[in-house]
Amino acid sequence: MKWLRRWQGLLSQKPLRLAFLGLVISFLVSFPFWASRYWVDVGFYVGLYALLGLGLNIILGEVGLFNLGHAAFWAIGAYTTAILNVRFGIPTLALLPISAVVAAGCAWLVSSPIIHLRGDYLCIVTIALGEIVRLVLINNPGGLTGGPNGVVGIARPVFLGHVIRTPMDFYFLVWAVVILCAIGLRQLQRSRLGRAWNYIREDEIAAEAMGVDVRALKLLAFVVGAALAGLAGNIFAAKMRMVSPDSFTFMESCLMFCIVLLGGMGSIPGTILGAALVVLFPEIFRPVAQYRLLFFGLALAATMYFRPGGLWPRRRTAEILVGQTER
Amino acid sequence: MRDEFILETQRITKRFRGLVAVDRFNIAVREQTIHSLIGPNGAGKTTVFNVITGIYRPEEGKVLFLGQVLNGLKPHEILARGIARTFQNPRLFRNMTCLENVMAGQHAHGRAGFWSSIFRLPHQRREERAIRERAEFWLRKLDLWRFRQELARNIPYGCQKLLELARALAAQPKVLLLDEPTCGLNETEKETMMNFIAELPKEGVTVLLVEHNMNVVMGLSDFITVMNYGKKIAEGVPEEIYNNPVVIEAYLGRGEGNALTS
Amino acid sequence: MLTFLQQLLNGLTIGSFYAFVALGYSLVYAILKLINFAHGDLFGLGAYIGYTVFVYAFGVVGTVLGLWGLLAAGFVAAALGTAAAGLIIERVAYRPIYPIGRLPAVVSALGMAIFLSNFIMAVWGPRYLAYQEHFIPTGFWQIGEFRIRVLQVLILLSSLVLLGILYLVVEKTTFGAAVRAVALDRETAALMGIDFLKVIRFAFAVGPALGAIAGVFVGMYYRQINFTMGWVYGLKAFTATILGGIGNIPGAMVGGVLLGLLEALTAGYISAAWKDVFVFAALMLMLIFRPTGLLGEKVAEKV
Repeated sequence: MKWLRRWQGLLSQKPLRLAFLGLVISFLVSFPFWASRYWVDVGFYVGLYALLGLGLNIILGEVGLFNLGHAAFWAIGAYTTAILNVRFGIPTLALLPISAVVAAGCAWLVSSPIIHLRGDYLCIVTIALGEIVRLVLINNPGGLTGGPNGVVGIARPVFLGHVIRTPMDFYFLVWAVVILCAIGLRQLQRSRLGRAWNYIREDEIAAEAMGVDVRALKLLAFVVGAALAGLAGNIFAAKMRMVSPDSFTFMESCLMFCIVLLGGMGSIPGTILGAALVVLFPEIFRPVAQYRLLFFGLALAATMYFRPGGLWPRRRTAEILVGQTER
Repeated sequence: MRDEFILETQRITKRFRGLVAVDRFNIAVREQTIHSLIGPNGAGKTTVFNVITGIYRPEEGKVLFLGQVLNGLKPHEILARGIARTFQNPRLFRNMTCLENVMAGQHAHGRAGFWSSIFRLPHQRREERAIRERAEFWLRKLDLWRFRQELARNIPYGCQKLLELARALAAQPKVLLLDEPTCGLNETEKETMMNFIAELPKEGVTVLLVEHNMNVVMGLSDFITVMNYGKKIAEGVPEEIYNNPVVIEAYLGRGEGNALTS
Repeated sequence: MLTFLQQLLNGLTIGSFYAFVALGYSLVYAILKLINFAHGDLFGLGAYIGYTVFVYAFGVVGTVLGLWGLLAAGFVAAALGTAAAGLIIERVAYRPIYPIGRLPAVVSALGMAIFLSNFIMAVWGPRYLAYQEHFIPTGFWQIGEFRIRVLQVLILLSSLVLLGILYLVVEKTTFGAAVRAVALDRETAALMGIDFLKVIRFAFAVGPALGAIAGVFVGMYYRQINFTMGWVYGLKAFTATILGGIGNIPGAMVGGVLLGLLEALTAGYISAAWKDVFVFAALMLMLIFRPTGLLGEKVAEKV
């Protein structure tokens, strides 16, 4: 594991970091042109889970709120897209921001009464929340959600006259959103708000005593995290062209939780790496398909033993070095 | 004559499951002084701090700051009004750098919101620079500059106490509550800390100090309030307290000698 | 009135299952402050071990000892096997990790849950397995139209007896005092010379064993088991733990029974499809208004 740390140390130097970033971006851009359709699809799912992971990373990684029901916000985004598109014919791509806003609004509504809960108690409430959303979807209130079968027939998104339909199209759609979100989050991390989130994670009482409005900032984290999940929901619904409650189980919330902790709390590249691992693991172990989740479970425990801070933790000291106002 | 007191508590009472930690306690702090709050262990000093800073809600009584009632305000609102504090055991943001820790003090004075942070709008950049420069100023002033990039948990204990002080001062408070600032420090560090605290009133910062070390208390204080079992038992300038038999008894129980000459 | 009584009985039976499983969560949480996410799947494992004994030992044990002997063998094997699994998981996946921090431990626990349910699937297959009639006590008493099954009585009695014994052990014995001391303050307890590991082992053996007994009962009651049953019952039982107040034994019992009743009565009178929504909504309301649960004590936070 030492090589990983050394590798990260190298990346704290600006030219090397830029070179690495360039490499990653050229790989991401060129990937669908030389990989098979199947692997482009896999790449799409890496992007999708990266987006979900980034959303949860704000809540869990930056603020330290245990949220094991993040799939609920994903579901809300997906169903918003499905229902508004199928019922009212609103274009799928136009629903991308709307899904985010609806998911964020729901997050604000449901997290307001529970935001004062701490640690494990919050964790349990979010589990319950995730289950409630899934059960409501199955029970088909007002005939809106289509029950266990879900909603089918979502129109393909159209971007400037180009119909997004192939795996490659969706690959670029999801990664464009991921990269935009990652840039936005990076800016937030280096701002007063991002620091305040971290103060809360480190010591809630000290943060409050230093003037941080803990409640408001926790709510903000939930709202932003849910908005990203809403975006993921829209893209997922557009890709599948249908949504059903089966996609949004407790297991999915667990996977997102694992993505954040595998990558490293509050680390954006870590979260993307975590998403890649969680999606690729079953693919790589496809030959032993029946046992792959079995190994996945073991791998989770092993990672936490060998690298409890995650595979790519955020390095604060290095960050501060960059752009130091030395006098 | 109330106006000359910058911070006042009026008959505040705080109970924990029937146990009265603070009992109808009054304290009045004059502007630009160092006022010490002393008393044996468990007398309720830290609880008074927690009531003033809004961490605990008192069952009875009022907290007044610049003539305004603070009751019901949240800790972050109280800090924004101008009361900052340190904790008995430093409560730093341990996995963040010292610079980031001191920057926390500036949080309440910042305005930049969500979107201006994402898009790095000009006013947000200006504000960030100001926050950083102020934090750097305090790091230099407290001789912590060499640790600015270290994680707070990795620096020596004495420096952690200083860092917490820097963090509180970066909030530009009018009143600073210090909870045992010299506890756990060695003699040199104690000296640095004392000299520094002594300077604060001149810079417009009023200090309310909880401290066990009597040399520190007698050396620094303009005024002393003594509490025991949640109640005020004595009050006065250092010389009066030094010779007050009630205070000596509270510290030693009935017996010989002067507890305050430790 | 008849439906009410019938639902009441159903609720009590289901509640006993939850109480059994809730206890395992509660014990481990009290001692380690860790939500043992794998506990639900240990319960599932118990159901499968019981099934295996019933099916494969039916010829041998069943002819020698009769139905009740077979049942006893099944329960003992399930309890012992699952307790062993619990101890192994504690040793391999928790003990090295909980000194590091709580979040890594939570992930490790999730990992173990995923591992266990997939282990069950790999060994016994993904399809439902049926608990066949010939190894289930099928008798019942009929009072008018009201029917009480022998199995239900068995479930209720054993939950009362076993949880009662556990309560007495924890409250009345010296070892129980050690358990409570560790639950209150691990470090001080260790300084007082209490063997911390022994207490942990106790929690990780007794919790899963009780869960396994519930697993076998669930198999008998519903006649079928599946590798996903751990998640479903685990989540409900965890809810019960919170309702009653995490970390105390009567709390787990009360929470379990209450949840069972709530579920049965909602299913009977409002809607079977919405019963789980009610259950989880109850959980949320409880956590918002009384996070310590019904029997929990409020703890003032030290600043």
